[in-house]
Amino acid sequence: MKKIEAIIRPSKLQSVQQGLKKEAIPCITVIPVKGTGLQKTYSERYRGAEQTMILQTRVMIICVISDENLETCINVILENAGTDQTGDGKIFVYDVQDAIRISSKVRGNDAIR
Amino acid sequence: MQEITELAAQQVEVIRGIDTVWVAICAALIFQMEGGFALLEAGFIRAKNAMSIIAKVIIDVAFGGLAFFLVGFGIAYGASNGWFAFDTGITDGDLGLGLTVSNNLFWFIQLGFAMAAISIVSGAVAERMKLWPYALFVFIFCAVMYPMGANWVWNPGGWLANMGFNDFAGSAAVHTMGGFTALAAAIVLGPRLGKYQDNGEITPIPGHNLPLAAVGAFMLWFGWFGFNPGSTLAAVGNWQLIGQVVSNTFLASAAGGVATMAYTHFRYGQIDITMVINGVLAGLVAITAGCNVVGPNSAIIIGFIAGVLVDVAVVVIDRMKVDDPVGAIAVHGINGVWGTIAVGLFATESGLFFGGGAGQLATQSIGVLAIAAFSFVVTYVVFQILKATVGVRVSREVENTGIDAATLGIESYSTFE
Repeated sequence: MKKIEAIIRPSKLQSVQQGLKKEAIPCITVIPVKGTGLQKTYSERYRGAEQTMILQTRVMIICVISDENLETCINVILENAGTDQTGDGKIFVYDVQDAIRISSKVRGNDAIR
Repeated sequence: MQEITELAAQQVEVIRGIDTVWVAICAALIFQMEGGFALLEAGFIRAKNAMSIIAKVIIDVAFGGLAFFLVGFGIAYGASNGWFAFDTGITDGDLGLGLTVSNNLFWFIQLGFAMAAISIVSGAVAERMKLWPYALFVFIFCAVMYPMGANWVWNPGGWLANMGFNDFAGSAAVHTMGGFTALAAAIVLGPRLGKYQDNGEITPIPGHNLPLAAVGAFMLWFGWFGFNPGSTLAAVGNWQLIGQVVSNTFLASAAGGVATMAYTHFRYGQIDITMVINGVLAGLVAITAGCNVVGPNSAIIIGFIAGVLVDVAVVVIDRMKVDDPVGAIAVHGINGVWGTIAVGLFATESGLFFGGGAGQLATQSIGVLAIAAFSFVVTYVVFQILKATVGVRVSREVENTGIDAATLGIESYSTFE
């Protein structure tokens, strides 16, 4: 079992979500996040004063999948989340020890289907 | 003898004073409807564009207000040749309307109507229109387009006024005008990215703050009790008429709400509360033309039909792939037409259902169709010209990022704190 954390642009969330659903990976968790990477900062104006915004708005998709689905999942995100520009985000992959579905108490791969 | 003259002069002063207080209060109520438009529209769109719609409503007030001062008022209420007049600033002298308030106060309450009309448009172009071209259009609308319609309907020399066209507070002159302007604008602009899929699917883009939209709707509802009763333009001598207008305005809005609740419950199995907000507003729009000539039962029927019409119209307009983020076309355009025509059916003296024959109905239909066609065609042409010259739509990148962060340099909800 693997966990994917993908940080992407908010405007790409819908197409990524639809892409994952199409590949039978329907279970995801989405968190609105702010962060900073290599993209250059931008400035906002607030009542006349300029402020440099270091943190950019992104969303993080968390998705726990079986090992065989890993490459499919990564490909879907790569295909749908990119604009070929700095600031598109990153994908992190982790090993997962176990998963338990609370309603049925099923464990392991069966719990994430 | 001299005493009697003095007493008469005093009485005139008292009448003028009472009428001025009445009209000034109503004008202020109408003005605060702009806050209602701002919140309603901001709540019904996504957070990333919320400040841009606030900016658009401020443009409606600021640019629209100055335009209506410079030439708008003169075109609407100067000496009319039937179609338009020409004058600048706040016209002096008798306007032929039997006013007991100053021309300045009359200008201010009329300005409220002009701003309401253009604020209808700001909702339909939300989330994708550039601000400066919008400001330019607001100026054109409030300087020429809206005043011409008002001239036809309310100027004593206007061609519709002379036909006996009854549009008390502007179902045609304000709402049909604004609604069909919004329709043409939304067609030329095109839908928001991601709204209509290639395979024909429609993706709803829900608003980001529905309680905010509801507060906006309540502000509009509240303001309508200045919008309609204030159109009496005088309190003295109108005590019965004002009562009739107030009660009709309320009854139609309540019926609109009930109708939409019932319709959505039976059609979709659930009450659609965002639609109910529009249903109430639809009832208000529809009663605006006839609130001075219909009875309370007719007001309820007019509002009830408006509440159903808006539900059907929202869906039909969406199927036509015209993207109207807040439902402005269905609420104001469609129900502006319905309300104006309803006068010809329900007016107690001249309505078809009350033995008045079809004459009023014909007049109402001709008038509202003329205003709908005029506003649609002129807006379509002006928008095409703007599109070809300065451009009307923000770039794809700006639309994806959000107009607030990308072009205004501010976000509604920008930090964690």
